[in-house]
Amino acid sequence: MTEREYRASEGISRSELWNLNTRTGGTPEKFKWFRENPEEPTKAMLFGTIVHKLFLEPDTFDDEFAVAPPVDKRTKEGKAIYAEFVESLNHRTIISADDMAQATAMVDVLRQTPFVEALVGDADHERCIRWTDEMTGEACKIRVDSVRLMSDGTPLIVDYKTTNDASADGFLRKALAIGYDFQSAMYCEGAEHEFGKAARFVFIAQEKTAPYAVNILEADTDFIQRGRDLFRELIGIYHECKTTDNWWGYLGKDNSIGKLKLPQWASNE
Amino acid sequence: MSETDQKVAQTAQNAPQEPQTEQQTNDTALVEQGAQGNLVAEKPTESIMPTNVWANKDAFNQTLRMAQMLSQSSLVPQNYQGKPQDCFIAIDIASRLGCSPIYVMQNLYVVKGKPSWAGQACMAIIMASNRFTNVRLCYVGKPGQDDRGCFVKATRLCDGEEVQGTLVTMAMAKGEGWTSNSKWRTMPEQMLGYRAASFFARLHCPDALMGLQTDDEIIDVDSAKKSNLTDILKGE
Repeated sequence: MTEREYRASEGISRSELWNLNTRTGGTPEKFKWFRENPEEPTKAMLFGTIVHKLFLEPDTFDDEFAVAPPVDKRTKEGKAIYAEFVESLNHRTIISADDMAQATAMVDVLRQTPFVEALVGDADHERCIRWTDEMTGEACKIRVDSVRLMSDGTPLIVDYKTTNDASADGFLRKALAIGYDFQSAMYCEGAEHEFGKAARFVFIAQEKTAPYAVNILEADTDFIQRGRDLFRELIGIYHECKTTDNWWGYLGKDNSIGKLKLPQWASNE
Repeated sequence: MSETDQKVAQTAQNAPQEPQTEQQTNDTALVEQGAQGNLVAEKPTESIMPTNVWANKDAFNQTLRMAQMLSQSSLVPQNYQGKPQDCFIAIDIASRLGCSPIYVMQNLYVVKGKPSWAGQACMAIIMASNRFTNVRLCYVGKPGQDDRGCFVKATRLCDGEEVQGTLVTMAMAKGEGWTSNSKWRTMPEQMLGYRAASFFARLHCPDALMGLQTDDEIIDVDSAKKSNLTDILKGE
């Protein structure tokens, strides 16, 4: 299943639910708008997709991406070669030779990192899991980078992230700000439905600049629990909005004017 | 113990043994707690049963007033400030253990939803129980090796017997999965000592811990619930 097919399929995904998180600027209004007007991936997102594909599904890489030939498009010959290349694309996405070189270098480092092979080798990559949330009856879906069963039957989920700071502290800050705890909880929930046993969740974080340092961090019980609380909250909001067809914005469900209050640090100045 | 405290303790011990009202009993019990709070037992003393605050209306009200006062103090730990209910329980525990409520507050926290003693409190609780003398930590083996271990040795006051707690070794910590808690890697000597003290207390004066675990025990067991992924992947 391609990314596009997955997005179009039934069920609520992690990235959609995240748009309901009012603590990070989300609202049901935004959720609805983004659902009807999906965002085009940014350059950084596209680069992340390239590295993901090269790392986890190298065999089908060429079916989705094509590296632009190194030609001077100002010359007649260059133009001709490039035109021929564009002709041959067949819906594939063009990537620059520089991006490809960087992605290859990153994947080389990943492959040499201890435990990476043990974590993602011999595992299902980009597997889709669907289930129905018992409390709300809502259909949920996830697409995991990598999942395999360990010898005792425990599902081991691995998620690969490119980041600016892969140190445990740096990654944690980013993780909490952009909801990786929520992601780990939703994925563990899905895996438990699929495999019937509580899952473990591991992040492989890699920095985007040389030497492309890699860190491997397992999501702790408390980390996942924080995300689980958030998952329950967001799916609850989604269910209520859907049931009442009220996709409220910043003014809240009952339309009220908020207060701009000074935080403690500013009122002490 | 400060000089003033000692004087107060002295006065309490010399107090005339006259029939007392419930109120007085309670007050005396509190002063006696101060006397026991020196944490080093020198001679066996009879166990002092403090007034049961849960069964005595006056004692309850008195403790409640104390709890309210303490909860408004900025000198009690922050997690007790504004929480007279928590202060109340701390006072009750302190009066049973025979130490200061402030000591209990400093060393009793809620870890993963369970009230638990700070690791370092165990040794003090053993000493405050007034049942042992010459309580000490004994280390064996080479630091950094699996056979490095620690146990607590003490002289039991009631019969003068030398007693010792279970030997806790690094091999045991690894086997039990406690080392998933990073403190076992960064300060193993300290953790061995804390654990040896809690094992000793569990064996020789379990009532002194009042059924509570230490914070490190709770964290260790929680870490151990999930076996170490590094070890699993290496073993596969």
